[in-house]
Amino acid sequence: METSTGRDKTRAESPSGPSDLRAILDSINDGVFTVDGEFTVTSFNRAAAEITGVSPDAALSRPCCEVFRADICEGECALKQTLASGKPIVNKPVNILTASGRRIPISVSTALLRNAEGEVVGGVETFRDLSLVEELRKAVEGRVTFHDMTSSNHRMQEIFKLLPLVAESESTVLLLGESGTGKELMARALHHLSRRARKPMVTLNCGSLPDTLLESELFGHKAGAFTDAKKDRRGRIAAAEGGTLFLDEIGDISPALQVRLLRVLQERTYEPLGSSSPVKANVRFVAATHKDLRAEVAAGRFREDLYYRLNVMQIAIPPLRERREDIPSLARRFLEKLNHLHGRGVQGFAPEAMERLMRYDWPGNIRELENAVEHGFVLCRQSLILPGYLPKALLEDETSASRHASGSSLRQVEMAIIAAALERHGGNRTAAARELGIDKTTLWRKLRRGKG
Amino acid sequence: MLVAVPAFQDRVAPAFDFCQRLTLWRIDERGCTLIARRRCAPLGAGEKASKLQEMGAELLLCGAIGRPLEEELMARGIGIRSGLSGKVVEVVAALACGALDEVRYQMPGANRL
Repeated sequence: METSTGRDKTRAESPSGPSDLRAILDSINDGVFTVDGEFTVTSFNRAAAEITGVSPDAALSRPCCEVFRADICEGECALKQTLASGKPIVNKPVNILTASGRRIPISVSTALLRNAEGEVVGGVETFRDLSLVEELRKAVEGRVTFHDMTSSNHRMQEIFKLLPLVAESESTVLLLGESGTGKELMARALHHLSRRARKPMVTLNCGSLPDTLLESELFGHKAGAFTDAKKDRRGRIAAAEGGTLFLDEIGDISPALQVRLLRVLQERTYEPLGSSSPVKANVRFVAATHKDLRAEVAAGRFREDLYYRLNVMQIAIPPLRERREDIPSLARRFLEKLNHLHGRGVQGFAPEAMERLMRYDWPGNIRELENAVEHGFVLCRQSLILPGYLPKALLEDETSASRHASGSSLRQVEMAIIAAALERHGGNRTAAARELGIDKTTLWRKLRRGKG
Repeated sequence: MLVAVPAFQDRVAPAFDFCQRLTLWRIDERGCTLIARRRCAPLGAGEKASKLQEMGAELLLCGAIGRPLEEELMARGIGIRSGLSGKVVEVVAALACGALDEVRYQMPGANRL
């Protein structure tokens, strides 16, 4: 017997009201829910409950965004668009947060919901859990995502394997890599994987401050230590107590500061400026530089003893030009982030644009790639980023292209472009071949040759 | 105490991971005062946690939150009350008067969060 409570009334009046229709909806594996004109949930099937982790009883009569928790809820709500335009949306890729806090990829489709008189009474959304598909796709591509870093490069994957072991030790780590290779991201991953993860990670860029200021930043000072020191101030070592101190651009510090830092590393104590009492430092040091520190030691600009103290564990991050296979997935990731940020739907890169990205030398590494994608995104007014939208440096870089030709073969570049197209189309070879303007048998032949 | 609340229109944003706006409230003996509004369009977990830390937030009141972001905030010493829904003003007031556990402030499925 139906009761007269609001929730049961909603269920009774919902479009899935007849019990046979409800049984049908509950028997399918796709999540289905309906909303009224106020975006309040009016029905919620079994699969919707299983995927989201929210029971039908909890979902009914609640705002759909609080049940669905999708990345499109605050901007490009598919149901809102369908209700406004009357047009259905098909297989839109979306991420949701389940009730247990797991982020999963799904695809959603929406349509209008009409009553027997043909009047619009709300909307219906169907959705499919893609997490298994996504896992399989990553496995097939051999791509590994590790603490915000994504790479299918074998050197990077070796680093990913090594990081947990390095993080577990308390040893000082020296990160080597050109500017923009992601040294800070690596340091952050080390911190999160370590036993110090619940304590702070503090970063200090040693190349951005003059020597006197750097010393005060690092060690802190007592009131009266120098003219402007009105009161005591904690340094970064103290701020990182119990956690990790990341010293970026360590190769830029002065000889005087090198001596003081060496003492901290050796004795685990330091004295704030203006103080004569030593303070204990329980800090894990991670240092990074783009310089060749061994050469700096040979030239007498960097202390050898400090070099060996810092260089207990060394991780050398390859520049982007030596891991070109990551360019398509990184570019796509940056584009997704921009689409999300600006509520746009740029689909990807034209093959010629991707070719430009693949041919360029990327002296500024991942940071420069991110900027180039943003440049293309800002100028793009179509669904694909064309070569003309990319920064001039990429278009004029013929010397880079010729240099690249000696580093990677044309076949490697071709394979990377094919991989990017396949990624854009979720592994669908027919669609990828169509985008690339080649027959699918040609694509198949090229793939087979590339694997051989 | 400084309390951050992600907002979508005038309600608590459904998912902190995807929220685009943050509000910062001071709760003291004088009551609840809105002291800042910040745009925080989708950032990585680390960046979002840094943003909260920069704002000086000691506690986050939010709807759903992904586990990695939750762990990141905990590591930074920021307290979290998740699984909340309702108007931002009312949720903040409920915190101030100790009524946040009432069912009306729970988002659907919150008991499993």
